[in-house]
Amino acid sequence: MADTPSEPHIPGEPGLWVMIFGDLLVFSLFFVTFATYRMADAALFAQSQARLNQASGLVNTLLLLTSSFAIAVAVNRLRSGEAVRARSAANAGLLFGAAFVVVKLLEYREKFLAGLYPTTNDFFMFYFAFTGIHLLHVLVGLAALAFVRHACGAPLTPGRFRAVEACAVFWHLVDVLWVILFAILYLHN
Amino acid sequence: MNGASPLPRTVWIALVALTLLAYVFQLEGLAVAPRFVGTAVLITAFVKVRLIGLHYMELKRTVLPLRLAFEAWVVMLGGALITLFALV
Repeated sequence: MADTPSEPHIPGEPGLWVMIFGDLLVFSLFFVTFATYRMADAALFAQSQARLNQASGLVNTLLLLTSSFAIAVAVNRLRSGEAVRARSAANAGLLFGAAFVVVKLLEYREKFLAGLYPTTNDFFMFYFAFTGIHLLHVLVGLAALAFVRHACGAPLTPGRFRAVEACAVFWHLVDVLWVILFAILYLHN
Repeated sequence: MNGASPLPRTVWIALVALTLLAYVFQLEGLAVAPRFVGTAVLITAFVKVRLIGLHYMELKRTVLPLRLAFEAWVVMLGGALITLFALV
Protein backbone atom coordinates (compact mmCIF):
# COMPACT_ATOMS: atom_id res chain seq x y z
CA MET A 1 0.00 0.00 0.00
CA ALA A 2 2.18 2.86 1.25
CA ASP A 3 5.93 3.24 1.24
CA THR A 4 7.77 1.60 4.10
CA PRO A 5 7.96 4.33 6.78
CA SER A 6 11.55 3.51 7.75
CA GLU A 7 12.82 4.26 4.22
CA PRO A 8 13.39 7.86 3.09
CA HIS A 9 10.51 8.93 0.91
CA ILE A 10 8.92 12.13 -0.31
CA PRO A 11 5.50 12.63 1.33
CA GLY A 12 2.88 13.18 -1.37
CA GLU A 13 4.39 13.93 -4.77
CA PRO A 14 7.63 15.81 -5.59
CA GLY A 15 5.55 18.43 -7.44
CA LEU A 16 3.63 19.17 -4.26
CA TRP A 17 6.82 20.40 -2.62
CA VAL A 18 7.37 22.97 -5.37
CA MET A 19 4.01 24.46 -4.39
CA ILE A 20 4.76 24.16 -0.65
CA PHE A 21 8.10 25.94 -0.94
CA GLY A 22 6.59 28.51 -3.29
CA ASP A 23 3.97 29.29 -0.64
CA LEU A 24 6.62 29.43 2.09
CA LEU A 25 8.66 31.89 0.03
CA VAL A 26 5.65 34.13 -0.69
CA PHE A 27 4.75 34.25 3.01
CA SER A 28 8.42 34.86 3.86
CA LEU A 29 8.23 37.94 1.69
CA PHE A 30 5.06 39.02 3.54
CA PHE A 31 6.72 38.57 6.94
CA VAL A 32 9.89 40.45 5.98
CA THR A 33 7.81 43.27 4.47
CA PHE A 34 5.82 43.50 7.71
CA ALA A 35 9.04 43.64 9.77
CA THR A 36 10.43 46.37 7.50
CA TYR A 37 7.29 48.53 7.75
CA ARG A 38 7.31 48.01 11.52
CA MET A 39 10.82 49.49 11.71
CA ALA A 40 9.50 52.70 10.14
CA ASP A 41 6.78 53.19 12.79
CA ALA A 42 7.30 50.81 15.72
CA ALA A 43 5.11 52.87 18.07
CA LEU A 44 2.08 52.68 15.76
CA PHE A 45 2.57 48.93 15.31
CA ALA A 46 2.83 48.42 19.08
CA GLN A 47 -0.32 50.47 19.77
CA SER A 48 -2.24 48.65 17.04
CA GLN A 49 -1.05 45.24 18.18
CA ALA A 50 -2.35 46.01 21.67
CA ARG A 51 -5.85 46.17 20.14
CA LEU A 52 -5.68 42.56 18.94
CA ASN A 53 -7.34 39.86 20.99
CA GLN A 54 -4.40 37.73 22.16
CA ALA A 55 -6.72 35.14 23.69
CA SER A 56 -8.36 34.52 20.29
CA GLY A 57 -4.94 34.14 18.72
CA LEU A 58 -3.91 31.69 21.43
CA VAL A 59 -7.10 29.63 21.09
CA ASN A 60 -6.69 29.50 17.31
CA THR A 61 -3.07 28.40 17.67
CA LEU A 62 -4.07 25.56 19.99
CA LEU A 63 -6.91 24.58 17.62
CA LEU A 64 -4.61 24.35 14.59
CA LEU A 65 -1.86 22.52 16.49
CA THR A 66 -4.42 19.99 17.71
CA SER A 67 -5.91 19.62 14.24
CA SER A 68 -2.44 18.99 12.80
CA PHE A 69 -1.83 16.39 15.49
CA ALA A 70 -5.10 14.63 14.62
CA ILE A 71 -4.23 14.55 10.91
CA ALA A 72 -0.73 13.20 11.62
CA VAL A 73 -2.40 10.43 13.64
CA ALA A 74 -4.90 9.79 10.81
CA VAL A 75 -2.09 9.37 8.26
CA ASN A 76 -0.19 6.99 10.56
CA ARG A 77 -3.32 4.92 11.17
CA LEU A 78 -4.08 4.74 7.46
CA ARG A 79 -0.51 3.67 6.85
CA SER A 80 -0.95 0.80 9.28
CA GLY A 81 -4.32 -0.19 7.80
CA GLU A 82 -6.55 1.10 10.63
CA ALA A 83 -9.07 2.84 8.39
CA VAL A 84 -11.87 3.21 10.95
CA ARG A 85 -9.62 4.74 13.59
CA ALA A 86 -8.02 6.93 10.92
CA ARG A 87 -11.46 8.28 10.05
CA SER A 88 -12.08 9.23 13.70
CA ALA A 89 -8.80 11.15 13.76
CA ALA A 90 -9.64 12.85 10.44
CA ASN A 91 -13.02 13.87 11.86
CA ALA A 92 -11.27 15.45 14.84
CA GLY A 93 -8.87 17.26 12.51
CA LEU A 94 -11.78 18.64 10.49
CA LEU A 95 -13.65 19.72 13.61
CA PHE A 96 -10.71 21.62 15.10
CA GLY A 97 -9.95 23.20 11.72
CA ALA A 98 -13.56 24.37 11.34
CA ALA A 99 -13.44 25.79 14.87
CA PHE A 100 -10.44 27.89 13.80
CA VAL A 101 -12.58 29.48 11.07
CA VAL A 102 -15.36 30.31 13.54
CA VAL A 103 -12.95 31.94 16.02
CA LYS A 104 -11.30 33.90 13.20
CA LEU A 105 -14.62 35.21 11.90
CA LEU A 106 -15.65 36.22 15.42
CA GLU A 107 -12.37 38.06 15.76
CA TYR A 108 -12.93 39.92 12.47
CA ARG A 109 -16.43 40.86 13.67
CA GLU A 110 -14.95 42.19 16.91
CA LYS A 111 -12.48 44.30 14.94
CA PHE A 112 -15.13 45.72 12.61
CA LEU A 113 -17.40 46.58 15.57
CA ALA A 114 -14.45 48.42 17.14
CA GLY A 115 -14.02 50.43 13.92
CA LEU A 116 -10.81 48.67 12.89
CA TYR A 117 -10.52 48.02 9.15
CA PRO A 118 -7.72 47.30 6.65
CA THR A 119 -7.69 51.02 5.90
CA THR A 120 -7.20 52.02 9.56
CA ASN A 121 -3.39 51.97 9.34
CA ASP A 122 -0.49 49.90 7.98
CA PHE A 123 -0.59 47.41 10.85
CA PHE A 124 -4.25 46.56 10.28
CA MET A 125 -3.72 46.47 6.52
CA PHE A 126 -1.11 43.75 7.11
CA TYR A 127 -3.23 42.05 9.78
CA PHE A 128 -6.30 41.70 7.56
CA ALA A 129 -4.32 40.86 4.41
CA PHE A 130 -2.12 38.19 6.00
CA THR A 131 -4.79 36.56 8.15
CA GLY A 132 -7.27 36.77 5.25
CA ILE A 133 -4.90 35.00 2.84
CA HIS A 134 -4.16 32.49 5.58
CA LEU A 135 -7.90 31.96 6.12
CA LEU A 136 -8.25 31.12 2.42
CA HIS A 137 -5.52 28.50 2.94
CA VAL A 138 -7.50 27.13 5.90
CA LEU A 139 -10.64 26.79 3.74
CA VAL A 140 -8.70 24.99 0.98
CA GLY A 141 -7.08 22.85 3.68
CA LEU A 142 -10.47 21.90 5.11
CA ALA A 143 -11.52 20.70 1.66
CA ALA A 144 -8.31 18.64 1.58
CA LEU A 145 -9.14 17.20 5.01
CA ALA A 146 -12.61 16.27 3.75
CA PHE A 147 -10.83 14.26 1.05
CA VAL A 148 -8.66 12.58 3.72
CA ARG A 149 -11.80 11.68 5.65
CA HIS A 150 -13.40 10.27 2.50
CA ALA A 151 -10.24 8.29 1.68
CA CYS A 152 -10.47 6.57 5.06
CA GLY A 153 -13.65 4.82 3.92
CA ALA A 154 -12.49 3.74 0.45
CA PRO A 155 -9.99 1.10 -0.75
CA LEU A 156 -6.55 2.62 -0.31
CA THR A 157 -4.39 2.40 -3.43
CA PRO A 158 -0.78 3.72 -3.41
CA GLY A 159 -1.89 6.68 -5.52
CA ARG A 160 -4.72 7.53 -3.15
CA PHE A 161 -2.40 7.26 -0.14
CA ARG A 162 0.02 9.70 -1.77
CA ALA A 163 -2.92 12.07 -2.27
CA VAL A 164 -3.77 11.71 1.44
CA GLU A 165 -0.17 12.50 2.36
CA ALA A 166 -0.24 15.55 0.09
CA CYS A 167 -3.43 16.84 1.75
CA ALA A 168 -1.90 16.29 5.19
CA VAL A 169 1.30 18.13 4.23
CA PHE A 170 -0.76 21.08 2.98
CA TRP A 171 -2.67 21.17 6.27
CA HIS A 172 0.56 21.19 8.25
CA LEU A 173 1.79 24.06 6.05
CA VAL A 174 -1.30 26.01 7.13
CA ASP A 175 -0.26 25.30 10.72
CA VAL A 176 3.34 26.42 10.10
CA LEU A 177 2.21 29.73 8.60
CA TRP A 178 -0.16 30.42 11.49
CA VAL A 179 2.54 29.74 14.10
CA ILE A 180 4.64 32.53 12.58
CA LEU A 181 1.65 34.87 12.13
CA PHE A 182 0.69 34.38 15.78
CA ALA A 183 4.21 35.24 16.90
CA ILE A 184 4.69 38.39 14.81
CA LEU A 185 1.14 39.79 14.88
CA TYR A 186 -0.08 38.91 18.37
CA LEU A 187 2.89 38.24 20.63
CA HIS A 188 5.91 40.22 19.50
CA ASN A 189 5.53 43.79 20.70
CA MET B 1 4.88 7.20 14.33
CA ASN B 2 7.40 4.56 13.36
CA GLY B 3 11.18 4.76 13.11
CA ALA B 4 13.15 7.47 14.87
CA SER B 5 10.30 10.01 14.99
CA PRO B 6 8.58 10.57 18.34
CA LEU B 7 4.90 9.86 18.64
CA PRO B 8 2.66 12.62 17.23
CA ARG B 9 1.28 13.04 20.75
CA THR B 10 4.75 13.80 22.16
CA VAL B 11 5.26 16.43 19.44
CA TRP B 12 1.80 17.89 20.13
CA ILE B 13 2.56 18.16 23.86
CA ALA B 14 5.83 19.94 23.07
CA LEU B 15 4.07 22.32 20.66
CA VAL B 16 1.32 23.20 23.14
CA ALA B 17 3.83 23.62 25.97
CA LEU B 18 5.99 25.97 23.86
CA THR B 19 2.91 27.96 22.82
CA LEU B 20 1.73 28.44 26.41
CA LEU B 21 5.27 29.17 27.60
CA ALA B 22 5.75 31.92 24.99
CA TYR B 23 2.31 33.37 25.75
CA VAL B 24 2.82 33.55 29.51
CA PHE B 25 6.44 34.66 29.11
CA GLN B 26 5.51 37.65 26.93
CA LEU B 27 2.72 38.63 29.34
CA GLU B 28 4.99 38.51 32.38
CA GLY B 29 8.27 39.70 30.90
CA LEU B 30 7.27 42.47 28.53
CA ALA B 31 7.63 45.24 31.09
CA VAL B 32 11.07 44.04 32.15
CA ALA B 33 12.96 43.29 28.94
CA PRO B 34 10.77 43.71 25.84
CA ARG B 35 13.54 43.12 23.29
CA PHE B 36 14.66 39.91 24.98
CA VAL B 37 11.06 38.70 25.24
CA GLY B 38 10.44 39.50 21.56
CA THR B 39 13.49 37.52 20.47
CA ALA B 40 12.49 34.60 22.71
CA VAL B 41 8.96 34.62 21.22
CA LEU B 42 10.36 34.41 17.68
CA ILE B 43 12.87 31.68 18.56
CA THR B 44 10.08 29.65 20.18
CA ALA B 45 7.92 30.09 17.06
CA PHE B 46 10.65 28.78 14.76
CA VAL B 47 11.39 25.84 17.05
CA LYS B 48 7.68 24.97 16.72
CA VAL B 49 7.82 25.42 12.94
CA ARG B 50 10.77 23.01 12.78
CA LEU B 51 8.96 20.44 14.95
CA ILE B 52 5.89 20.56 12.68
CA GLY B 53 8.03 20.30 9.55
CA LEU B 54 10.23 17.43 10.71
CA HIS B 55 7.60 15.32 12.47
CA TYR B 56 4.17 16.13 11.04
CA MET B 57 5.25 16.92 7.46
CA GLU B 58 7.56 13.91 7.84
CA LEU B 59 10.65 15.75 6.62
CA LYS B 60 12.76 14.02 9.26
CA ARG B 61 12.79 10.86 7.21
CA THR B 62 12.56 12.24 3.69
CA VAL B 63 15.33 12.60 1.12
CA LEU B 64 18.20 14.80 2.27
CA PRO B 65 17.84 17.68 -0.25
CA LEU B 66 14.22 18.25 0.76
CA ARG B 67 15.03 18.24 4.45
CA LEU B 68 18.01 20.56 3.93
CA ALA B 69 15.83 22.97 1.92
CA PHE B 70 13.34 23.13 4.80
CA GLU B 71 16.04 23.53 7.45
CA ALA B 72 17.66 26.31 5.39
CA TRP B 73 14.30 28.10 5.07
CA VAL B 74 13.75 27.91 8.84
CA VAL B 75 17.22 29.29 9.61
CA MET B 76 17.09 32.05 6.98
CA LEU B 77 13.58 33.34 7.70
CA GLY B 78 13.99 32.93 11.45
CA GLY B 79 17.33 34.75 11.37
CA ALA B 80 15.97 37.54 9.17
CA LEU B 81 12.90 38.16 11.34
CA ILE B 82 14.79 37.99 14.64
CA THR B 83 17.32 40.51 13.27
CA LEU B 84 14.73 42.89 11.80
CA PHE B 85 12.55 42.82 14.94
CA ALA B 86 15.57 43.32 17.22
CA LEU B 87 16.64 46.48 15.38
CA VAL B 88 13.73 48.57 16.74
